[in-house]
Amino acid sequence: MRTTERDAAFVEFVRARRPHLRRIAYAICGDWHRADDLVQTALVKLYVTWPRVHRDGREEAYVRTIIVRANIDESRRPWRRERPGLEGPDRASRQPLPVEERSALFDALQGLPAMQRRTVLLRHWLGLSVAETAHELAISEGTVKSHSSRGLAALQALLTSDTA
Amino acid sequence: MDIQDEIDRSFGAGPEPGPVDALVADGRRALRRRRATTGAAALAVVLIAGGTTWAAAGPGPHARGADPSVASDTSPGPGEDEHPAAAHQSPATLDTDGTLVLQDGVTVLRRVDNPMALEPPKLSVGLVLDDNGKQVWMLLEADPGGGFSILDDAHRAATTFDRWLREVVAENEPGKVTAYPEEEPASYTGDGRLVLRDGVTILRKVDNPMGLEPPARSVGLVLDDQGRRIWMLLQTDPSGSSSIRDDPGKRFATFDEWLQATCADQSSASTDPVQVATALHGELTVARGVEVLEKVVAPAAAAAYGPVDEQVAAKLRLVDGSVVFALVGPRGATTVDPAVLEAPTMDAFLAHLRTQGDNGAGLR
Repeated sequence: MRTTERDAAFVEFVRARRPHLRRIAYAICGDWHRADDLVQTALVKLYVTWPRVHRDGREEAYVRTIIVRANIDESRRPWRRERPGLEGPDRASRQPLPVEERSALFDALQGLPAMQRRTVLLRHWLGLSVAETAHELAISEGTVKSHSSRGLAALQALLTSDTA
Repeated sequence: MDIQDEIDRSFGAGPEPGPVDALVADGRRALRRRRATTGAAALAVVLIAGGTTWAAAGPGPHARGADPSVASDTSPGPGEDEHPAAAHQSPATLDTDGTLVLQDGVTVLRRVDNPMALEPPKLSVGLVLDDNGKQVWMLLEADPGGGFSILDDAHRAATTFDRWLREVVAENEPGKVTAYPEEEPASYTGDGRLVLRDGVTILRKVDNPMGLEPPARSVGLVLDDQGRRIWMLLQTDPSGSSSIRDDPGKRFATFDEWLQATCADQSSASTDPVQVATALHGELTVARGVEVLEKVVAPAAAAAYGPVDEQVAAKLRLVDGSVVFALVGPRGATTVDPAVLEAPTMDAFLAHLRTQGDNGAGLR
């Protein structure tokens, strides 16, 4: 595959799928600037491995994986840590969210601990299986089920308290 | 509620993203940094921590890194800098028969076989290497049907080897179930930060129980891994990191007792006179944390103790900071306290060796 062919196929994919990929990133991190950073990181990596990934038709899954794992890595860095290891249980992101078109459900989603949020999004929004979610997040299937159950329960509780 | 539909309708599309052209330009630049090679090469090299880049696959497993064949789609775009890729040779290569070939001065500190879960005849291996005193991480793939190679800049030292390996495997085999080992509950990153696996919390922390001198350090931990209690001792120094973990109550009733015994076990490897160093054909190897202050290869003064060319007289600083002289051979070291010498110098030690050899008393 020559550069021009790679570019053409890559650009076509980006134009078609970037809106959806940005929404995935935004749902995970809750900030459009960071979402764009995540998507850019993932798409640049996709460009590098394009012949291989494109040949197998895994472009979107590849980018999604990079977005999710880059977000996990980000959350582990001290300056963006969402769950400091020495300071107790999982906590939600402190990043301020822009005021825009979004619902109480989205705010509730952002109020979940990071791993619960990722699990709920992958399992119940993007429709990944338990095994796929476990692989994507590099956690056990049991942990996926646990996060999923707790996340959905927390969403329900948050929404209920909001409407009460 | 239909949660999938509810989530999908719960937020919009956000602001307009940047132009696609800029993305393509970024991609080209990244491609220049990670140069993918296809063809007859039977090798893949993924880099690294430590600030250096190596040239990757040449025409065979013993390729020396000059002029790696570059696929047509990797040509630089306008205005892009040439990457100094061919300036170094890879510290390790993987032959298609599974033979790992190391350059001079390179030793394997840790090996993870087939992290990419490839089917034969394809092979892969993850490596922590000591490359002439500098630790590097590598992922190698051998593929007789046409391998590939990737170069990367060294910017991943802020992660652990397990996480790094997982990431580079995922980048090259996305979506595939891989065979890398489960991440340790707690690990030191390449730049010496303590990180925890998801779901793990620290219940108790004892700083530097091994009493290591900076930049080396150690930590004892009582961890909770999703309800399971774990005891861990970790240590790190510029040559790499290691850890030991145990289940509470298995060998010791309390964490303090376990930590004390485990620290003693670990320290003994660096202070026991026999284990502190060895020499093979005049090449001196010292235990982790031991520093060579001075050495004399094949000292004539040691003729009474064995073949001279198999021995090394050395002045060493041990992990506990003490300085000793040692006569080192293939079976280990015999140490001598500087206090028994005329002066704390290598000359005095060599004279002591000669005297003790001549009078038959020996060093012990």
